[in-house]
Amino acid sequence: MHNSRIITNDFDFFQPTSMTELYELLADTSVETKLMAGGTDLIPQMKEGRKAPKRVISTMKIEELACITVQDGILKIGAAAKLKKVAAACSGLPTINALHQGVSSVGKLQILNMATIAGNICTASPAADTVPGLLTLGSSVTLKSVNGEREVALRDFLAGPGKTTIQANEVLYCINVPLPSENTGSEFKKMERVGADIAKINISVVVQRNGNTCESCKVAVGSCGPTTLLIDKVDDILGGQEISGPESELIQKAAQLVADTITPIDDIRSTAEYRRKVAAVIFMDVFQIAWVRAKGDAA
Amino acid sequence: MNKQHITLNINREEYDVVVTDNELLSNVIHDTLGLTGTKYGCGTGECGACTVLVNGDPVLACITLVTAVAGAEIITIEGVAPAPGKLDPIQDAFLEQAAVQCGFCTPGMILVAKDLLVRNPHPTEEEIRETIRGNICRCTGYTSIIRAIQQAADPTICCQSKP
Repeated sequence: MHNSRIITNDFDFFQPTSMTELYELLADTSVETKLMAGGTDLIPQMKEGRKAPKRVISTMKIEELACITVQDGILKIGAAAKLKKVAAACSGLPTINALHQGVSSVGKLQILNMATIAGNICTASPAADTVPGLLTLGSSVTLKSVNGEREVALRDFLAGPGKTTIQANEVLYCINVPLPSENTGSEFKKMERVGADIAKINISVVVQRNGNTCESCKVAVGSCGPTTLLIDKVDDILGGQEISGPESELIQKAAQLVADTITPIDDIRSTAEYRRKVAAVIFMDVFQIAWVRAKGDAA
Repeated sequence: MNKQHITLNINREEYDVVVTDNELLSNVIHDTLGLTGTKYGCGTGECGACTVLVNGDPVLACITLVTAVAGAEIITIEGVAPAPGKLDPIQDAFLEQAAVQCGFCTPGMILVAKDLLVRNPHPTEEEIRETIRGNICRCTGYTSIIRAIQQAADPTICCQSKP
């Protein structure tokens, strides 16, 4: 039994205040190092002995990492921006409602005051609540290192449970969320036992609508595979089609596709069977809300 | 691992402490400084018993490295009252509404309520419930806790616990 009152692992803690200082620290790859943002995931893991880095580097004292800006129709969320600030920035942007809901459902007040969206992404939990919204909105991440920077689509960045394609000398600098056109509606839903729990299943749907025609439909499902799954084939069924009703044959076909495509497992939170059944049902609910929203109603 | 000397600003007073990099804010507050109002509950950021305000925001001291908050303004339950011998209106309301049973969750509950009422002086019941979502009361006295926060926001709410 571990003692969660203290961290038994000895480590050196660094809090650089500039990117230059951070790159210098990351250049030394001889010591096992973890980058830490809010620490809401890493610190409990260190307490439980599941992670024991020799160096921990905080990103939270670098001012430029806390910025949230809109540039050329792209919402840029700095890696050290706390979730409360991200939620506030999203709340004025109705088309990315799904991201706002995902960010707000990560945890309780205290967690929103500590944690960051970059931390949520880099932890790479298949159940991450901010990821379905980000994936359906076509987000990318900007990675920086002393050698320069690169932009990677979020779907290519997430490589598996706890795994991303970040290099040891790189830091996630910001998340880029393209703001969709006004005829877009989005919705996120999370199934949980009680509030602030980790998701049994979470889902985000982003719909672009022109009258009664669905121009495009993006769906991402979390907690049902090694990473959050972006299900492109739904767009093959619904894209360009007229939507006659919330339970039309077409929607049911898309829901069945979602249930068939996910690869859930049995774990402490749910069974695979439950997840498959629920995925189809909540896809239909969430699609309907996003669909109505795309018309401009705040349903 | 090196020991280092940091200054913590807790309840408007400065404390010079010697800490190691892996030390947690909750343990320094509770064990080193003897401010025992901040409770250690789950240790993993689930229960909210260790809540303190850092620059006004409720955070979990049991998963905060102490060196990360050097120089920040920290308020614990001991610093909520305006002066020695006086109570904050939220504390008064908790007493009046008998919102304290074993008392273990109370410091965290009062600190999140404090933050809520600063941001939103007239919260709805739903907003209060949302605010205390991350604070677990195992005596399950949530109803009187919610009533106490309502009373602190609006002192005209009559005490219903007294005969």
